Amino acid sequence: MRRTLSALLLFCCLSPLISSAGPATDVKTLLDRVDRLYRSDRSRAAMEMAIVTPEWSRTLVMDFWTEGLDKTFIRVRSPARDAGSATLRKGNEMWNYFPKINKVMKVPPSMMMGSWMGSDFTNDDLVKESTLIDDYTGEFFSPEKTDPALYYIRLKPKKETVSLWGAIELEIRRDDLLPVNERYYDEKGRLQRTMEFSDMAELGGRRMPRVMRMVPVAKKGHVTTIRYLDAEFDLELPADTFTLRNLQRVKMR
Amino acid sequence: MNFYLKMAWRNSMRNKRRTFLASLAVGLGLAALIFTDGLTIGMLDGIIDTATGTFMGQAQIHRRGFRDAMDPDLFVEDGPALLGRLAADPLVKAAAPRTVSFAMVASPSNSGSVMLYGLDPAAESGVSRLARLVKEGDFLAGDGYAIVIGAALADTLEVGLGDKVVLTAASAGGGDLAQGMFRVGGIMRSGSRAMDSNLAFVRIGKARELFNLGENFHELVFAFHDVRNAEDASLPFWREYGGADNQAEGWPELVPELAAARGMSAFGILITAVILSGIVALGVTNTLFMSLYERMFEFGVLRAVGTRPLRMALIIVGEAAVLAVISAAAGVFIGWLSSYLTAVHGLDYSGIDYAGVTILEPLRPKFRALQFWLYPSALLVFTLLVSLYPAVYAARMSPVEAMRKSL
Amino acid sequence: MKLIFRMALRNVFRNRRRSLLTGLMMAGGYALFALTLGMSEGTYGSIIDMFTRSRTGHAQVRAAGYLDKPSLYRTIDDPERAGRVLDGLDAVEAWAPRVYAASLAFAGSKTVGAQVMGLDPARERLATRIATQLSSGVFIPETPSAGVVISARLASALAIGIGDEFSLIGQGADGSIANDNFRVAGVLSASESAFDGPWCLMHIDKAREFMALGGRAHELVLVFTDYREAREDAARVSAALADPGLDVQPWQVTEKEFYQAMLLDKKGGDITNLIIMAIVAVGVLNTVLMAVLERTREYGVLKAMGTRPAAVFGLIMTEVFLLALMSSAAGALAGAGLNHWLSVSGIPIPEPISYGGVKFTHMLSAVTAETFTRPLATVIAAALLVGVFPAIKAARVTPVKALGSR
Repeated sequence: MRRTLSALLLFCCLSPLISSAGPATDVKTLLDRVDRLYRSDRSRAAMEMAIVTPEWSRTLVMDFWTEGLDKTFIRVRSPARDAGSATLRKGNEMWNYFPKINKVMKVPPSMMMGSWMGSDFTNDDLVKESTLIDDYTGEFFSPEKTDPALYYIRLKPKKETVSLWGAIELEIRRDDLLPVNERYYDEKGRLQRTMEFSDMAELGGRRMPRVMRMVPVAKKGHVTTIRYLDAEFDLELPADTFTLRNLQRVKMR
Repeated sequence: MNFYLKMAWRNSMRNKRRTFLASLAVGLGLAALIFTDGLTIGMLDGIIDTATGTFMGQAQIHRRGFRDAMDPDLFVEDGPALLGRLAADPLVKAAAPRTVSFAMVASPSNSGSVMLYGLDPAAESGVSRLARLVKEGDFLAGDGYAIVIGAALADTLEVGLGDKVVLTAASAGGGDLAQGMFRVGGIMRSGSRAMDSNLAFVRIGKARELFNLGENFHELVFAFHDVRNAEDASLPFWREYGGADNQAEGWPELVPELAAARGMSAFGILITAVILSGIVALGVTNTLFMSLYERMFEFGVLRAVGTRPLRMALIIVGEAAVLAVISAAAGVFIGWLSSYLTAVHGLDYSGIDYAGVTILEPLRPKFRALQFWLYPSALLVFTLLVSLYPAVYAARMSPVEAMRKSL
Repeated sequence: MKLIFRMALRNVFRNRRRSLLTGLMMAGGYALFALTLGMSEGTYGSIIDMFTRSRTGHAQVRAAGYLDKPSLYRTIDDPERAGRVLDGLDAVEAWAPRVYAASLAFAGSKTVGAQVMGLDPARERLATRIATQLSSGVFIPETPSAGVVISARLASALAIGIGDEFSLIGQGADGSIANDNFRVAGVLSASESAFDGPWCLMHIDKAREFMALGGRAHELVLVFTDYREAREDAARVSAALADPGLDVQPWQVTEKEFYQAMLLDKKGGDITNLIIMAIVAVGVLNTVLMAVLERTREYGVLKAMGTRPAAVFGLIMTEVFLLALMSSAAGALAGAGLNHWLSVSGIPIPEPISYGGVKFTHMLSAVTAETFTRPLATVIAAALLVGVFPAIKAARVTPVKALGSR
């Protein structure tokens, strides 16, 4: 959930230090790699988010910028009704801007569990940051049908970690250490959420899954799919990118 | 005086059937009034007790403006000191502090918004009966991160005892996000769907920690030794503890609908009493006249013999008095009996909402002193008044006509 | 038979005093009972009427399942068609469409959850009294605009008043994020409106645009000509609409708590009614007994003359019945007069009471069929029942004994 979306958003910010992975031997090293995979300096990407619900379907196109683990700026490009809307996240706080009313609204805590722009991701997902290595303990496991090309890791939240999940199962490709699948289980072992990563491609000089598909198991007929259109890393970002002022600029940068 | 009473008694006993039936009719009227009064008061008291005793308490103190938007920064001004003063006040039986916040409770399957209360279970036992509503698990025993939620919410979230949930709310001093993980320690079944879906409770210590409240709290709930103090808005008490920043309010201000319902019912009893008096008046007049006409000849003789008009009147009044006394006795007995019998089982309306309060326990008629001295005395006086008309008639009767008119 | 009837009639008028006494008890009992019933019906009636007219109407049309699980997406898809059907029904006095959505309201730095209701001002004025519940400002203008009416709670939570601007954010029915600016045109009263929580009322077309609802609606509020027929009329509407996707529910179902509270109160009143009936019956018993037993000698003469016991019985019963009938007529007149007067002026309540957004200043009575039928049944039944015993006694009396008495 939270970790996943921060993974999603920060995914494009690959550290240049990561080389193509060789066979890692223990879980800790793997997790550390994956964590560092998601660690970023600065990035910009354009992506498309397709939301499907039983009542409606919508596709949003947006640009987003990140810096470090705690700054995010998103601007919606289409559809026309939502074009110009923006979201800024700094640390634990979040603001939304709506061009039609020309107002900046600080997202109140009660809205944090609400969905972001109607998708299956919550505002909270955007805000929280955590690292696998710090917040979870992991171990290898073997499911019934093992694919030799994949690592299987099961993560359990540490005692102090604020998390609803009982366990998270990761499937990671052995050759390039890119995740393929994530499954979220509650404490009773019931599957609550799945994330599928696919369409590995080169973006901004890095290899990453272009498409992420999130299916909340409890909500029938809901799917959110994210597709990267392009990405850039380690670029220079204008100093005022992550400011409230920037929210209100309708022109695209 | 004695003479007339004796005579009145003997006259009444001469026609036992008529006296019996008349006193039955009048007595039933009194009984009806006693029973209705008891039932209405009992019902309202029961509802008020449920409203105030289950959760709301008899009175509360908040910071002015807090209840509008539940701003976490608007905690009770000088809370801990106020709590101490209240606890020491001779009028107050018990007081308990609470934090109150809008929060989201999330489980892996779902999330729901709630009013989250941080409570001190020990202090709560003096002002509310929440512990009794917890049907599974316990009411925040121990020191841990336990949360008590209603059964309906537990269903929505698909959680049970021991399951993890995440609480999200605004903390004080900036509105930052506060999140905490809790385990379901108790499940509440209150009978009220609203309570079971919208409330959650944690220990006040944990809430203060999470929401950055220090020693403060948002709501002070307390109970008086005598609940009537809660209803008396004119007591200096409210201003003493209210002051400029805080607002102290009794339950009539917190739930005005309930106070309104009580006012209506009181008025309703009055109207019923008036109508019943009308019927009683009819019955009494009727009986007295019947007895008069039956003994027209006799009365004529009495007049002829020289009885003065006043004395004639007194005879009638005397009979009325006897009738009143017998009726009062019968009425009081029947009234008491019917109230007692109904009180044994009570009337069960559990689950029904009345004036914004869900009825949780059976309603019972309530005895109060005035039912047994005010109403019977009123009956006595009323009967005597009503008897004036036939009494005057008897006084003014001419002996000759009387003897001639005899049937 | 005819003879007995004429004799009975003559007997009634023969002894005025006795008939008057008995008749007075019956007429008085009738009138007072009618008054009790009238007051009870009138008070409940006025409470129910005022409560239902303040916001909810007598019945509502909604998409099936909306009442239990309200959702933005559960809509009445063609309210226009439904409206045409409703216009054609006599029982429906007025109807008004509504839409609802949960949203976030913010002004300055304050953000608070708010409930949005879109309504049609012209139709609403005919159906409910929402337009009269303002404490300041004006009601929603009849053409869609940014002027809205907010509840007192919302006004104080956002710290805004008449003329101030604020914004609403919500979820559109097409998935978009609904957002728009609004201006406060009016504020609802804190104590005398049916809107307790943070409400924002606006023109239905403005709301539909905001929520991307197109022409749909969530609710059609119905007002019937007689609220007492709510259940039957709701069934009629449902049949006329002939759409299994729509629920038509009377106020007894949608305002279940209020209804149950009323029933509870009424039950108490029923007990009182029972007692009044008993008292009246006992009173009647007393007078009828007197009337009959006093005339034992008379019946003795009749029997001596050869009248059969059955005839004596019939005579007495007919007398009692005729007296009861005549007294009832008198009682009905008095009762109806009282009830009618009180249904118009009412009894002023010493301290006006506010409940559910309605202010009660008077307790009213009502003239209904029940205020005639129940007392009539009671008095006549009591009289006849009561008359049986002395009638039998008189029928069986032996002439010798009877003539010897007195």
